Amino acid sequence: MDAEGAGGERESPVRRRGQGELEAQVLSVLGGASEPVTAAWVLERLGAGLSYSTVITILTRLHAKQAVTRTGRGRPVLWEPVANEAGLAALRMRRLLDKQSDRDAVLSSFVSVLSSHDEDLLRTLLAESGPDGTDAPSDRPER
Amino acid sequence: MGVFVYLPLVLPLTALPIARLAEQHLHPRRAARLLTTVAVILASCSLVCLGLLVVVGTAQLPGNPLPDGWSDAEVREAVPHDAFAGKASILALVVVTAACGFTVHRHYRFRARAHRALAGLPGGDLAVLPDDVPYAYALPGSPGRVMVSTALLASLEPAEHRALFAHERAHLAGRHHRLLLATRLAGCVNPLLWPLLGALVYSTERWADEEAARVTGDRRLTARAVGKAALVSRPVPGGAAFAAFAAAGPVPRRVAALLGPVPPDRGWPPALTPAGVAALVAAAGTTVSALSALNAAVALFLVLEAATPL
Repeated sequence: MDAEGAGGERESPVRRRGQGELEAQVLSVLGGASEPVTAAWVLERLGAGLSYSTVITILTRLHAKQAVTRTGRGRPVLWEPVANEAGLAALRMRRLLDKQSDRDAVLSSFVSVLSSHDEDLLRTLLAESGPDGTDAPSDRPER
Repeated sequence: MGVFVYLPLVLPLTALPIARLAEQHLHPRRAARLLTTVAVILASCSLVCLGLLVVVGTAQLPGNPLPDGWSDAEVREAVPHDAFAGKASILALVVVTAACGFTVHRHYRFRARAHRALAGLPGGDLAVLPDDVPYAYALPGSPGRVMVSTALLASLEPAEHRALFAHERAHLAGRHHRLLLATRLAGCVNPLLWPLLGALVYSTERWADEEAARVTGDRRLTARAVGKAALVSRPVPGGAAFAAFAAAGPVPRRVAALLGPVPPDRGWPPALTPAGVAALVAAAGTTVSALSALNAAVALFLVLEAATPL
């Protein structure tokens, strides 16, 4: 049952790895998939001394955390990441962007906060801008 | 040279009219380049003159490394030798150096952190970030990247996405961050140049808008993208209470400009218009500033060369 010797060169054994690390690895493998995949596919990519049941356990735990979704009726069950590396990158980026002074020193913003006067003006301009009314949150002048 | 050494410290005031008028009367690309050039030259002249004041004003202070000969009678005759101005200049020079250092450090630190945050993401120069806050930014670097949140993409239609991406890529292709950093540094050297930064920020946004309109071939589409993107971010509650009495903010002005015709890309505004006069005033101020600084620097160099014991 102990795979310590077998996969020692490539990765440390299961019990040496933290649960969080395993979850992150599974998420990262899922993130690399272009479509929902089976647990066997994940196991194949992870390799290194993990058992099928371990992968299922981790996927189930991630599912409980709403980090992955399961699709596919009956068999095979297909798994898909909700928050993947992009989600982590977004979190990191948000932390950076929230420091406004640093952000403003480097980036120019496409979106900026409007005063209510600007907002009315903008709605009027957009309403005049074209007959092909768009279904944006805000095309029509407010009544 | 006498008073000339002080001139470059106040001549940035001559650039203020063009900072006000450039956006309405010049093509945004020309406006951005003109503002940056003027800011950098005026700031350089200010810096030279600060340095000269430090040299002459402090050459006889105990413990300084300059030869005492540098404040001999002949030198003092050629340049103002006010000890107070000299000491104040030391202080100013220290503050300027620290502010510039901090600005550059912050700029590159943010860029490095942002690139690290995006490192794991595939997708070439476009990074789509799952986030419910709408934003889109051009992150300079080599290569630069465009980062945009899913919330913003969701609020725009596919054709408008093209305008958004073209806008951000125009920031990268035009290397707007360099113009902005240079002008920010100029503002650190001489605070009278700060208003130019605001005008430049607006000009670079307009420049990118025009590029996006050119790439998409549709000015209305670009205007809608800019307007809708601004509308999805709600105003901060109570944050802009007084803005309602002010003139239109930057986004409505950008949208209105896009709904109008392509701005003429002529070299210089006609001399008899307000913008033409403002441009001439700025050009004259910059020239006088450069000549004063040069005059002061050369005079001081010649006098010091004669006064330095070798």
